[in-house]
Amino acid sequence: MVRIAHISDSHLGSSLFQLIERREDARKCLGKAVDMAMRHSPDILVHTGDLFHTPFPMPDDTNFVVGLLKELNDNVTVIVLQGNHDIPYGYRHAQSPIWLLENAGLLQSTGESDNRELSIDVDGKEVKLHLISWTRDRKFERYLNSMNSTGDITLLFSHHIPIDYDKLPARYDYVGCGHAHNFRIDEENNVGRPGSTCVVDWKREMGGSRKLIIADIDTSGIEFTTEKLNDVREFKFHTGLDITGMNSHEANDAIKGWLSSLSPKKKGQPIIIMNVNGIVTPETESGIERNGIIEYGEKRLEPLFLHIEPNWEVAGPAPVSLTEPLNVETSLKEYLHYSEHASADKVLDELRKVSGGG
Amino acid sequence: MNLEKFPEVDSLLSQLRLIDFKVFTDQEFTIYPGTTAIVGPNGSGKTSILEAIEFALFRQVTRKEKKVPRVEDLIHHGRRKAIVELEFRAPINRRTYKVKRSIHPGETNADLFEESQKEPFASGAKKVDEEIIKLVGMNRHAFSALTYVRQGEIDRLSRMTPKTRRTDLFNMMGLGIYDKTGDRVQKQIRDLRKQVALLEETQARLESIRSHLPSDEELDSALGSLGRLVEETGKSRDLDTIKEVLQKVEHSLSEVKQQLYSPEMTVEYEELKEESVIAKYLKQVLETVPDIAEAQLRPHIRSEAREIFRSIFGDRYSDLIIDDDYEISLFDLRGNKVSLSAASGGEDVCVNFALRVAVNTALQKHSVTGPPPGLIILDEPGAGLDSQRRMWLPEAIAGLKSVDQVIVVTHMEEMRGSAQRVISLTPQGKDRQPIVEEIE
Ligand SMILES: Nc1ncnc2c1ncn2[C@@H]1O[C@H](COP(=O)(O)OP(=O)(O)OP(=O)(O)O)[C@@H](O)[C@H]1O
Ligand SMILES: [Mg+2]
Ligand SMILES: [Mn+2]
Repeated sequence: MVRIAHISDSHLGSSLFQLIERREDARKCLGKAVDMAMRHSPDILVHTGDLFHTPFPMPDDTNFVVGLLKELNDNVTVIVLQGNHDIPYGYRHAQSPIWLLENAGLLQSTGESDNRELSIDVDGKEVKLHLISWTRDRKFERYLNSMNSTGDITLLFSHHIPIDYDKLPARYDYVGCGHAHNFRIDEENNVGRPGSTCVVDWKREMGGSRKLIIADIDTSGIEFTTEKLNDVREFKFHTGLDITGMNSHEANDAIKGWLSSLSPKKKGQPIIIMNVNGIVTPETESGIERNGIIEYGEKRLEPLFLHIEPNWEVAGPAPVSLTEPLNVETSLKEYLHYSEHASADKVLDELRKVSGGG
Repeated sequence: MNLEKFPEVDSLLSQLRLIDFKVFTDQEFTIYPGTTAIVGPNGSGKTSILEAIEFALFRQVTRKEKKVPRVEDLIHHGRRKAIVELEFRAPINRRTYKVKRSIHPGETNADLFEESQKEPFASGAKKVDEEIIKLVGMNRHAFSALTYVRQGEIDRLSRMTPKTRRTDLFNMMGLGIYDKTGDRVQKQIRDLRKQVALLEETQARLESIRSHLPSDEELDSALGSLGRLVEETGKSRDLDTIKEVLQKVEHSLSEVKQQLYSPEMTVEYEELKEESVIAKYLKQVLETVPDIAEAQLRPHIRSEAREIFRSIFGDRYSDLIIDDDYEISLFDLRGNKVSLSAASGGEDVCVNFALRVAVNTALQKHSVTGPPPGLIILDEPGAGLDSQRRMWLPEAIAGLKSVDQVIVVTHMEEMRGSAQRVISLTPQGKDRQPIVEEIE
């Protein structure tokens, strides 16, 4: 049996809301994910790309990765792909920090290129690995055709899979990918995607989850075990408070109301994110105490960050609602009807007369 | 918009040919749907390509915020005429047209062809201008405001006074159509006033003539006196002469009266006056309704613009608002209001971009004359963006639903990277046109 531990997209160097603390968080999240993975004593530990958030990582992040990889025992094969964030513009794989780490003997990747075939021996079984780093879609499809050698067990790891999963060749026992930050397993096609190791882009990741994937493969098939990967920092989301029809006092109270329903944390500072939806008048909008609410929430909950996302729409008090605001004739008709003007018909005739002239 | 190439999609522009237009002596460009990047060193002719598009459509070129006054300056140095041909698909009927304009010293000429027709269906600069405005659904103002972001002008909105910003946004939203109708009504009011004045003048003249003529009674009594004289003294040549004169006066009087009470001077005059009142009221309504329309459109545009802006600056800002005075402001993540003038250069770039796209999206929903042009032309939009955000701008462009054709002139590699096509210009010196290549 071959055991694979699969993680992805740790984005070291990213900092949500530009918070400097999140840089440290991202490192801790990766450390935690690797620890959890190693507790399963995998034969292969694979990270399917976007280890770093930028192709020019800061020394603290690079050092952290070097330290982390040096700690791993020699029995595990460590594979790390180059994700789109790991390479400078123009697919310059040779300038990726991943290549630097590979060159230092700390991991195996696609070198100065975007693809590589690799054979390893696990308990006397030949395991064939097909690796594809971030590349053009056309090239991905080309590699799928050209990398056709198989072993006792054949695996594909690619940062991104730009085709439908059911179009993947049948030769693979497991296909691991990253890029999208939400967990997904497709048992039909043996595809696994762990999602990111930490919260990188809260909006895109809000609905999904992050997991460590353990895949046990032998000739009879594949068996998955997953473990939830929680961000080291606590996140609290309110997906949508509706303030439709409220005046500004009510809206302020409603927003504060949710904040006051949360209890302050004894240890650790959470990140609190709240979406506020609905349709309000301009008066309500201008009366919303954005500053004050945030100060209130911060004082009460002492979060690392409190974000209130205004998603409300503003509808002014309109004397009449125009069905086609850019259609002069219809709009005038509707307006005249509303204002009950005595000579409405004559006014419209005059409009037609004038417009008809060219 | 998708990152794959799919030329079957409708998009505004398809083919451009330049003959002796600025640095180009004879050059064709195919413009596909999706994003086309134009790259090349300073002065290689990138902006000139965009100017040719503007000229082909609207017979004018704007440079450094001023209209180029003498279009003959666009003729390649040392040549006698320039020709610009542009093939485009009209959003209004999805047919393909070709406009061909030539520039000669002191004049320009134009022909407009329907696809594959040999004979133009409109000829003459003015006529072609009018047809094109109808076909593409925007005039040059709307084009400037909505579609073409000129070099160094992406932060234009922020530098404008609220009044011009309002006009600009009004034009962007297509509300200029109310002004146009208003102008026509104004002209009608002037015409009516002229006609009324003319009638009143005639009336006054007739009244004055009548006042110099004897009244009916005076004439009657004079004729009576004359009758009695004839009775007393018998007929005479002298009396006949007086009678003739009196009859002539009588005739003049009835003539004047007939004119004064003619339908033209009475019924029509009243009708004209009534129409004037109606027209004035129409003018007033035409000034009120666009405000209502605007108030209805603005929230949509704001929501769209906020979404786009946040997709690029969501780590610093939470909101973008456009208030009644067209002051644009941002709210940072702490809830502080930041006016656009206080925002950074890169943020400015992004707000301007977001607004234009948002209006395109709103127009797609509301326009009655046809879908919006779906085209955005950007001349060096990335100036001022940091390396991270330079990556996002192309992503934002690629994600646009309302825009299916983007032409971007750029020196930035990241922009090139996201373009489906890259047109590269290499100067050749010695007054030769640049080498034009499509590169990967
Ligand atoms: N009538 C003309 N005939 C030939 N060349 C002309 C004519 N008018 C202007 N030029 C030249 O065309 C060039 C202008 O090109 P354009 O503005 O398109 O440059 P660009 O590629 O956009 O450069 P940049 O990167 O600096 O914006 C200038 O070098 C100018 O000297
Ligand atoms: Mg230029
Ligand atoms: Mn990623």
